Amino acid sequence: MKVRSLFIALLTSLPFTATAEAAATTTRGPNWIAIGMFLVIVVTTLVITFRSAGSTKSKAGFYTAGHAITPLQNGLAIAGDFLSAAAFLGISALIYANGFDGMLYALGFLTGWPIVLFLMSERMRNLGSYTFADAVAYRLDRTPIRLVAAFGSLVVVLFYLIAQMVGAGKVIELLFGVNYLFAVIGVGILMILYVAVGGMQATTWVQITKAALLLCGGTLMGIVVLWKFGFSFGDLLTAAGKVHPKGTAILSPGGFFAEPVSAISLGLALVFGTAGLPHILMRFFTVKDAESARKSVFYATTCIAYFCLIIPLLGFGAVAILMPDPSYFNVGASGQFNKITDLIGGPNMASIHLAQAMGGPILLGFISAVAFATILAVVAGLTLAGASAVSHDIYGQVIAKGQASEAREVWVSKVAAITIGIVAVLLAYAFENQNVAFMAGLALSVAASCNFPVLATVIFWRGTTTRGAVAGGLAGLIAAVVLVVASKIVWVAVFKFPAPLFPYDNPALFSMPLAFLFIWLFSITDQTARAARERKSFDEQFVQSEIGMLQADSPAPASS
Amino acid sequence: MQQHKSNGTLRILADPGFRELTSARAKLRWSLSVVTLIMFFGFIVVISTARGALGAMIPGSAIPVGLLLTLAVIGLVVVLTGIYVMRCNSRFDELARAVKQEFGR
Repeated sequence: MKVRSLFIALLTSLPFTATAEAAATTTRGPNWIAIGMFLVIVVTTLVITFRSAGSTKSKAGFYTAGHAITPLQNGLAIAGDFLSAAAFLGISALIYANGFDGMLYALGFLTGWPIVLFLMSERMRNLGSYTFADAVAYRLDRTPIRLVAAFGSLVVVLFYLIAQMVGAGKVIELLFGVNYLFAVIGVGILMILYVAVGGMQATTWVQITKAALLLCGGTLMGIVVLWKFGFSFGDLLTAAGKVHPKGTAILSPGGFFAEPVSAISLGLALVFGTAGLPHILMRFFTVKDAESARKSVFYATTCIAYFCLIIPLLGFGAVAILMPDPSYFNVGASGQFNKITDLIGGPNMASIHLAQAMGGPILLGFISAVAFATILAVVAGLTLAGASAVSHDIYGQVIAKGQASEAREVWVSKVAAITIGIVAVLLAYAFENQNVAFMAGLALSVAASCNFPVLATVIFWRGTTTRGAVAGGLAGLIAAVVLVVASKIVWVAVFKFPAPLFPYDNPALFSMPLAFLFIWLFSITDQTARAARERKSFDEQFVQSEIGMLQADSPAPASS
Repeated sequence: MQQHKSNGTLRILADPGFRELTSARAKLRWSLSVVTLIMFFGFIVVISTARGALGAMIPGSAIPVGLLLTLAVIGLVVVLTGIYVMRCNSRFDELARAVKQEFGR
């Protein structure tokens, strides 16, 4: 029923609003190719979703697609989960605006992956079954540690989701001329459907579809840009340096990383945040064993690295091709325009305009559809991770103490997915005109300061106790949030105070060591019988994490 | 239950195959992690200190040194993950299988 009404809503309102928008801007008519491809993506993903509906009856089916995804599929899905619209449109926009500095973001995003591979993926698969909290609860006291892990997951998911949803609303508004609120509601309904109806199976295939589209679309754009410059990267850079307002300065490191404290802090958040993102960690449970988890990270890293090599072609290509042409800009009455901020729709639209410039409406339609698919896959993955934290960790393990029936737990997660979807839509609506750029950064900082330290110490340090892990996780979480609020990006930009309380842009350099310090301090001073038991069971956890003796579907009942 | 399990655990911990597997794998894991982190954070420090040098063009081309280095680091990240996966596939999986077989699960 929902599907049909969604379709009717889409079909009736899209062309009208699109035409109205076109009349207002008078630059282009409605892009029927974009709208057609957009509908193809919606229909394809919904078909995937309803065909997957049968797989969501059991917990294993709902959370992990029955652990039956192959390494290559999972690798693509991880890449699909990770390469958000912020990566595709955002990093190409950063390169468009700042040149070289934008590349460093791409590098930071990528560098988290070897760490995930070396430290997390295999152990995660051996110790857990459904969520990363399974791994931390292996030898610690179930109730408090799962609450902290679930809380950390939900904070990360919610901030990431708001950042993605606001971005999604803006992009769809611009691409298809749909009203912002309607765009956000549409995305919300689709992501709820994917997750609640199709579970992990549908989410995975939406991500695989998106990854394939994104890699193909990026490659196509990259080739076209290079072809335009006689397949010479040097000529492309020279052309970009000539027309950019900052001139050839865009080819060398600029102000972003001039200040080492902020740069290293950002680097820490990017590298270790990736190893603590709940929706990424959850993907390791969709494969059958640790070996497959490891292989899937290799495939994912390769795809992400490939994307990092393409993205400068798009960013610098947009500089060289769009900047000399005023038709891509909001030109003021005096004929003057700022080559960065006056780009129609803002610098985030650089890749989209580039598609129009290089391949006309067909390439524009395709790339717009790719951007749309990118948004859908990421929000679906986040919603599923959030729903699992609520149903498996909070409901299943804490409230029902592991006694809930599978059907009941799956039902709770579907309700949770719908609730998270509605909350995300409401928040995205509330934050429409706020600068939400800090939220994605905050999500990564929380992941690096709460989830990662707890996971790393529980897995690698025998001395970790429940008390230490809870204290450290909460300390990292609170410190990350408080420091972001006190920094320029919120204190000055949102609250309009004249000067920030915290001088750096990113808190990870301070909040992450604080979390480790608290874990250490509250663990070594913990002399309870429970702490002694937890230290003793490290051996058993070690064996399990190394070779996965109990390759069963349920987590080992060490803490029960 | 707990007693039975910890006996098995102690036996596995003492097993030479298991010890070889875990110590060799830990060595590989930590050394590759350290290399990755030094590479990335070292690069950030270089960028914030030697900005001018990185902006210079590679002789005979229009590609700056810094940009080429960034692309090289991206390639190296893939190489590092590749080394780990290859070593695991060719060596550690065998060892792990042998241990698991020995302890019959």
